[in-house]
Amino acid sequence: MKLYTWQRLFLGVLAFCLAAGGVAAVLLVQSAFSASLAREESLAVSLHAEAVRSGASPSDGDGFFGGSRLYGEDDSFLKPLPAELSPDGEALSAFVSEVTRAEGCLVRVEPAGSARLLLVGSPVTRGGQLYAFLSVRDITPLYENRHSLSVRALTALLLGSFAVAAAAGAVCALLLRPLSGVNRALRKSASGPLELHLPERGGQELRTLTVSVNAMAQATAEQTRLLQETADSRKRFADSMAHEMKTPLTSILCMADLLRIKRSVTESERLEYAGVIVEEAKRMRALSSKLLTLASADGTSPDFRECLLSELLEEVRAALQPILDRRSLRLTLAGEDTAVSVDRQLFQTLLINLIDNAAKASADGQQILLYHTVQDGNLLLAVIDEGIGMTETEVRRATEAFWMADKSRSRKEGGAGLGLTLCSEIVKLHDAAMTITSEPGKGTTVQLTVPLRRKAPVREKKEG
Amino acid sequence: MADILIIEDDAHVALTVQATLAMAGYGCDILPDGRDAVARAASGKYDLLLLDVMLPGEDGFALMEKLRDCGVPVIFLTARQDVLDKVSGLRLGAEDYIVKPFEALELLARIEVVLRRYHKLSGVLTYGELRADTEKHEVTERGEPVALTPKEFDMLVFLMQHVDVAVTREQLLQAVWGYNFMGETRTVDMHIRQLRKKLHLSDGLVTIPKLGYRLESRKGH
Repeated sequence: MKLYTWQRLFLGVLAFCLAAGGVAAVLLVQSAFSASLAREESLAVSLHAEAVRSGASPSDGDGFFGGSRLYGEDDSFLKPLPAELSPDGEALSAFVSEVTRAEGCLVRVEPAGSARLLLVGSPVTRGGQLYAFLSVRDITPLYENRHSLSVRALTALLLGSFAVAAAAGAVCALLLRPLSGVNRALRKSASGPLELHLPERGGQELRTLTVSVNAMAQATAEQTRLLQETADSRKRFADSMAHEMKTPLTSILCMADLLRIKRSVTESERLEYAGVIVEEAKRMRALSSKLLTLASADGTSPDFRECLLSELLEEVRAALQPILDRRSLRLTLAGEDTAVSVDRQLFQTLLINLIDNAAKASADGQQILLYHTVQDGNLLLAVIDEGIGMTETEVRRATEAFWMADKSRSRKEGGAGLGLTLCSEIVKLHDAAMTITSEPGKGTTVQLTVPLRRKAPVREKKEG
Repeated sequence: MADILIIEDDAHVALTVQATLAMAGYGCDILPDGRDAVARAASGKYDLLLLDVMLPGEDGFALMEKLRDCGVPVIFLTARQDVLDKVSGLRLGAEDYIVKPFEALELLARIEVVLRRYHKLSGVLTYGELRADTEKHEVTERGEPVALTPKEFDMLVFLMQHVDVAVTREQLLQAVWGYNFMGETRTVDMHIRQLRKKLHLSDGLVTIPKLGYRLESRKGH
């Protein structure tokens, strides 16, 4: 049954009141009645005994009870019983025969029409003859009294029970009223955006409930926002990726198709078409290798090993030397050496990418400085160039996948727009932080804060 | 032939499209971004715009809003294959939406559909002594009408639209019978035989091994 709590309480209280009150009322009425009846009986018995002792002799005049004499009520003896107080003949003769066989006094209540009669009988011998000496009292008022008392008690019980139950239901409904507000708000938020804040009122339990619901709603909203953000960035990534993959594919497919279907291709056309195909295929090669590195950085757990920073940096310099030489760029390493726990491969990829970016931004012959120091248990690493720099907006977008400050130039240099995206993934894996500061025309500084020891209880996070 | 403006930021894609259009005989110009697009489109020189969606600065959809009033039909070229993107592109008033990467012939075919819709292409095609009137569905050789079945006619028109271009049997099937036709390429061969016989094309309509057919222009005709 779908009932509100106040309805349940109302019905429960009502049932309880009716049951308990009913039993109590019945017991009360019955005991009052029994007491009156007992009083009435003892009175009747003593009057009867008096009558017998006074020697009232049964008259055989009316012959009504086979020689016995009847005593009517109003305590007036020796009066014949009025006709309306005559008990049923059969019951009377049965009682009379019982009395004549009995030793002492017998008492019995007999109905006579709508009335009730109290019969008291004892055997008497008069003139050698055995008689049943009966006296009769009309105790109808006793029964009437019991009836009216019962009716009154029942009425009072019903009214009282209803009143108590209604009061209980009302109090319950009042106490639980804040719940319907909670319910309404929850229902509304279930169909719409999860912006929910319930006022805290009502009893302690309700307050606890609203606090919990508010906390849940806030957590859910936060989760939803995060999910939305993730979905948005996935969508952006997928869109950019589609664009980056399909643009070279378009040139490749269309140019190859032209070479296939044209009846005659001149030498210059052949060079042009094939040139485009080769260049775009190279672009796809660069993109796919970057994507693979990104995917592996994303998916695998890094292999952290203790190693000397100076060794690591020398390897990085060796890897970059050809590019640096070609552009006659100077890479200066400076700072204190330390042992650091990193994934060697990934960390080198990170540094190579950062220095490569710096090289791309620099003019030929400029200097790139890699400065490193230890501070508060962290390795601070800064890659500083004197290149073209970036605006504030460009800095904000720099780690976004496929974003390139200068598209046509980066493409020529084999850039896919994934370098810094990869870097920020590697930084995340190392529990490190990366901040980029830049000024157009002055150069860019990328600073890394890397914890020296793994599983350090303090996780440093700096936002760029 | 018609003139087409390409608005595409990727130089190689623009070059590819230009080479494809040049093969079909269209004149075309390239814009690397949308800055001058409206002025150029309004100049009345162009019969069709090919518009990339992902452009630096203002994107193709935003540009479309401004280009709508120029009265020049627009076909979107885009890497996005989202149905919603397609719908929003077409709702903006574009004539078609070509998803990259595409083949040369597909691009040409869809351009032709749009140009024909705008009556920018002549309804009469000629090849040597042959004249095909696409509106009246008539073919004449030296002025004499030649009876062709509808499919033969469609096939002839497709070949005449792509003179000197090798077309595959699959492309012919698609062009004549539609994209969902699950026919056999042998059907194409039968119709080609009929065309060669009826129109005396045994020299001009050549078979390209492993590829398909090509209607070759002849010097001297």
